[in-house]
Amino acid sequence: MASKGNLTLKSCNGKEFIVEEKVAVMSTTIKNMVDVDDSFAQGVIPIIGVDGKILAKLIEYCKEHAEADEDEEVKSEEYLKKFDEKFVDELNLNDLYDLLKASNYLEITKLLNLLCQKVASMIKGKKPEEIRRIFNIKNDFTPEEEEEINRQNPWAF
Amino acid sequence: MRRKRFKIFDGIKVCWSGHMALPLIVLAGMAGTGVAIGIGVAITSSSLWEKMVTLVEQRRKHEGAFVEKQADRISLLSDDLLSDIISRLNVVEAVRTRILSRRWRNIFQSRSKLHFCCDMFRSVQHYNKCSNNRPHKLRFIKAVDQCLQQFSGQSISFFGLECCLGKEFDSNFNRWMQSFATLGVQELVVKFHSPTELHLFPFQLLFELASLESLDLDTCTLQPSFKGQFKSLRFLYLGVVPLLNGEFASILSSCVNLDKIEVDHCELPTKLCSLVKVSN
Repeated sequence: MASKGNLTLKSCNGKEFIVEEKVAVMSTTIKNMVDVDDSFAQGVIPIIGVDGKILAKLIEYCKEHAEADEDEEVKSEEYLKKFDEKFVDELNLNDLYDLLKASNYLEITKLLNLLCQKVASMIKGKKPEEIRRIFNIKNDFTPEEEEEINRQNPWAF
Repeated sequence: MRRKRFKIFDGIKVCWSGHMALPLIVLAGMAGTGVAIGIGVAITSSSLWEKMVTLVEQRRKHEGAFVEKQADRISLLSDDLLSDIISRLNVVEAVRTRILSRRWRNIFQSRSKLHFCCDMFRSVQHYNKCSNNRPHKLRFIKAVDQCLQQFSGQSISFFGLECCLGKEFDSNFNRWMQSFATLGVQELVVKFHSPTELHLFPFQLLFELASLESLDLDTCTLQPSFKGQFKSLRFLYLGVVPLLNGEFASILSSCVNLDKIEVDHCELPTKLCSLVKVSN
């Protein structure tokens, strides 16, 4: 059991992480759980649908940001910016999707913004064909449907 | 005796015998030059070779499976997440995502902010010829027209126009202003990039726009006197808008619920100038 001020988070594949409360409550979902029901603060909080690998990543992110919120001098804005850049650059596509879904479910707004921005930057300035290749999107339009979209927004293509 | 022959490149062949125990030296002749380079391949037994072949095959199979496994997971994200991602792209880039697949076709439509800027429609070779490039202006106009049509009946909280359209396009512009009312625009930004000929901004056309809370106007002129009321407008920003002929008084009398007004690089009557300085 976690000591006072700490919370235990359990991933869907049974891995337990003991984290400081200030780190865990970066997630609005966890904050609401702890605020509403005190038993969560003492026991184990199950994080549904998030496996150990992704949960560890989430904690890594929240830890840096929670510490920066507490002490701006040790972890400056510049430091955080660099940390964020490195954090998203090291992700593969699968981790990126898993983290997007997890941060959305756990309502970690800052991280969600960062990840959405990352995906947007991967789309920016690219032709549809390139975007499909990057994300393995299958073009399932009939030629007629494709023609219709081209007709609706010819200025974009 | 079983012999195997593998062709690696044209002109380089690797042979070995199934029972050969001694190391095999393969000489590869470089075609055309006659210079021979010796590449020694030492394989002590054929079983080791076969193990290697099996390993390479396994690896290939694994990689093949990996490529197949790279499913289109981005399209499985919720509409909200995809909308969030697309909202970070400019209008042209966002519209382009409609053609990706059926899943993406209507995501653009959930956008609540529309911002059009000349730069988005300018081809690279015309980048510095903004004022003389008619085709890109026409693309710009077509884009705004079509989007306004596409989004009619929907709610758009922010609408931004940054353009270098000349006066010849005033009628298009006025038509857009009138259509904002149906979109319930709350925040409007209009910036003209043509300081040599100032547009007359049709302020009075916006009185119909009951939802408008914030208006940002840049590089244009206003009619010296206009009548009407902006009941909802709370924030007004004017940059490079001459206010010498009574426009300021008209603004103050028409914007009855204004919280804040900011003027930047605007010509003001002398009396007002001293007043503004005092209030600063």
